[in-house]
Amino acid sequence: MIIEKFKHKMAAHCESGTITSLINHAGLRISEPLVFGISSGLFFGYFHKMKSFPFPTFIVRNKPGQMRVNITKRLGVKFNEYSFHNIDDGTRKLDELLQKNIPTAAQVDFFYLDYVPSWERVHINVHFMVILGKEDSNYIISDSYFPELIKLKSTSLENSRFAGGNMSPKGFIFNVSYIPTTIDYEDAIIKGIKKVCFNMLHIPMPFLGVKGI
Amino acid sequence: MKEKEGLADCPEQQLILYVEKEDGKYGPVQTGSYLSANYLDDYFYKRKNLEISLRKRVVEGEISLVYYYMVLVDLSISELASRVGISKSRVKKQFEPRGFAKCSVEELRKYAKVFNVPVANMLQIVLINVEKNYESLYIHEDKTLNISVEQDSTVNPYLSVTKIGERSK
Repeated sequence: MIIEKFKHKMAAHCESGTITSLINHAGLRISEPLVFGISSGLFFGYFHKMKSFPFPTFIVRNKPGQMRVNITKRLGVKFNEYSFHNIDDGTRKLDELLQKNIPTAAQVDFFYLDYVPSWERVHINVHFMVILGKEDSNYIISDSYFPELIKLKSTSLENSRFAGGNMSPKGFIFNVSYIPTTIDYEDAIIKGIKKVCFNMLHIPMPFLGVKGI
Repeated sequence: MKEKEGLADCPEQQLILYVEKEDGKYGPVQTGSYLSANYLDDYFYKRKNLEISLRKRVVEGEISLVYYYMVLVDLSISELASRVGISKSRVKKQFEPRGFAKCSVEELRKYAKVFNVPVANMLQIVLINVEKNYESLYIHEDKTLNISVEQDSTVNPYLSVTKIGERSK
């Protein structure tokens, strides 16, 4: 079972790419840069010490998951969101949505994704991708960092959806439930820009925004 | 960034960049990763040396395989403890063979899951002979060798099956 109509497309960021693909599939034509801008994706933070990593690192986008929240607030697009404590419940729900031909995005740990080159695979629970279907024990994945659709073992997907640690995904999945008929893009874009300006200029932390740079 | 400046040759890792095209407009272009195209050899060289130095310390009984894998997968102690579901102090104790000896099999299974290795590999390092040098299977990248070693997990969480054979062409 594969959702044939879904158009796989590469993107610069996984979360904005995933949201763009889902929204496009639901019928609203919008580009990734517009989603990224409206959701105030641009940000900078330098972390000398971070809980997840034993080395200094920096981030160049807003908090994972925030893009979806901002798109909901500014465009009026609504998402069904599901989190799970139990692995079996999470797998059952995902299979149920795929049976209904609903492309479903998932938050995963990058480390368990077999198709990612070994040098890219780190434990970080903030990767997003769209799951399109299931064939035997493999899921069909649209990962916006890869040019083609990919097959991923169900055990690998399970491990990546239910990895523990910082920002644990807890099997989090989401799909589009509502697309508004009219959208005020101008208002949404201005709000997106204002929020980026605030985040980059006015958060009083020396390692965030322009101070961090 | 101009389109020409953004292009890099790396078929293994493709990405999308937004660049200034020849007609002055900005738009996406699919290209290889600049970092992967230029710094991968250095990365593998350093990673190999890191593995060798860690392996030496494991063999000499200075550290346990918990520490060995934790360093190789770039995890912090607190992140490892959180993923395994035990305290940081307990993880630290298990960095040494004496503390590691008190690990339960269930803890080993949880560690193995975090490091994405079979449980059996929490008690062994599998080496393969590459041009008269032994390299750890865990970090080995060369897929052109004649021999293949596959470690498959089974429904039984405490059992993995290791298959050694000629690599199919």
